[in-house]
Amino acid sequence: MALPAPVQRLIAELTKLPGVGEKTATRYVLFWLQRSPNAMKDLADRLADAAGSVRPCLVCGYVAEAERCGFCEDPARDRATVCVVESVADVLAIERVGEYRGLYHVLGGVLSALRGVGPDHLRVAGLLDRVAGGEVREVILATGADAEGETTALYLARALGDRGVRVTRPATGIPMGSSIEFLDAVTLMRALRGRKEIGP
Amino acid sequence: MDDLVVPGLILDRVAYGERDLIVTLLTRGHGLVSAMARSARGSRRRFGGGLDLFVVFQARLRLRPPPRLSALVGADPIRQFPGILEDLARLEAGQAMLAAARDLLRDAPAPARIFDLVVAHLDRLERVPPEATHLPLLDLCLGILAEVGHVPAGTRCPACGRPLDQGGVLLDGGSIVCAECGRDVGVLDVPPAVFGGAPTRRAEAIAFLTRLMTAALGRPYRIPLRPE
Repeated sequence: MALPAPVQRLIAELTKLPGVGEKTATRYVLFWLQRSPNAMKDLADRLADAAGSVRPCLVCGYVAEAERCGFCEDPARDRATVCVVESVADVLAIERVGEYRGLYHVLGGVLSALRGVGPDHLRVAGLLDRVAGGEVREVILATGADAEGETTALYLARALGDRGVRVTRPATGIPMGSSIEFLDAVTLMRALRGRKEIGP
Repeated sequence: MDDLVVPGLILDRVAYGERDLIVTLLTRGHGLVSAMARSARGSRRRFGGGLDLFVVFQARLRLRPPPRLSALVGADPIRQFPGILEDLARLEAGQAMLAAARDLLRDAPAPARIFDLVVAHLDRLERVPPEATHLPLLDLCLGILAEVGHVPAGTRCPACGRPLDQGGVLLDGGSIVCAECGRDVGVLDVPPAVFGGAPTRRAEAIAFLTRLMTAALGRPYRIPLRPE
């Protein structure tokens, strides 16, 4: 016998999550159903709570509980440096390193002719407005090191070119701990083209 | 079933789940193939940078009959186009070329010469000045349109003035001349009369191409290039 319609609808909704197929979604739902009568209601409450209280930061696009996120409100962050990333996940990855103390700007994707994504689909205008505010001295373009990421970085570099800020891009090339012998040709070629001088 | 090993080029890629990619490949001689590239986003070990745009690679494909998705199990780079990656105008035009090839070849046979045509025009794109990046796009689209049955008629050989209605030859550098003028120096045969009447100035060329693609595909088509 088929599962009741509400359960089927829930399974269908969960399959929209990244990496979740129908089998996994069914397993999740059955787990919650079997756990306790209130377990699923608790989950629904948490979802409703998050949906009602969380929104993109009006300044940088990161996740916020108010108009501005924790980074933008934090007086200890370096307000002269803005790191531009594709997604919220990229912010979390950079924060894990513990090296960066500036602010962020989450574009919400990359420019892609293949996907029909242009500058108007991303938070590009917001970035230019932030820079025009005068407080920013350096913009780090930390988009991906693939063709779309490079396109986005070059586009932003050009847009920021005459605004009096330093525009930088994280280094790309040979991963730490790897041997040149085992590098693929694409990575190696880009590493060689991006080589830098070192001192004596 | 044995793996198919064939030169390929990514025309499109879509993230699937947390670590995988679904790629659309233009293969040399086997047309467009959609395939799952497992762990392509989560690990560089299997594919390295081979699955980026503008990389010709030796694809190892495990073909499966529809509706099952084939699997891309290896991609060893053969050729890269670093000149495209380092310039915004070339990157934009290059992606427009891949998108146009994807859209025009979706339901059409793609023999080996179409693969060669795409590679030849990416090669040309690497070398044109930034203000002329629309020309390889225009010529590639016209070439593919001719291959799939939409042939704009009538133009002349720039060297001798003879009509190109019998086809022409692509020279290294991008010019199209008649077979006679291009004898021994041509790098690629171009089907008959594909370049007839196409404007070459950027804004006009993009407008022309937009109309042509819209007519060929039967739906509104936007060329993702700035007209200026």
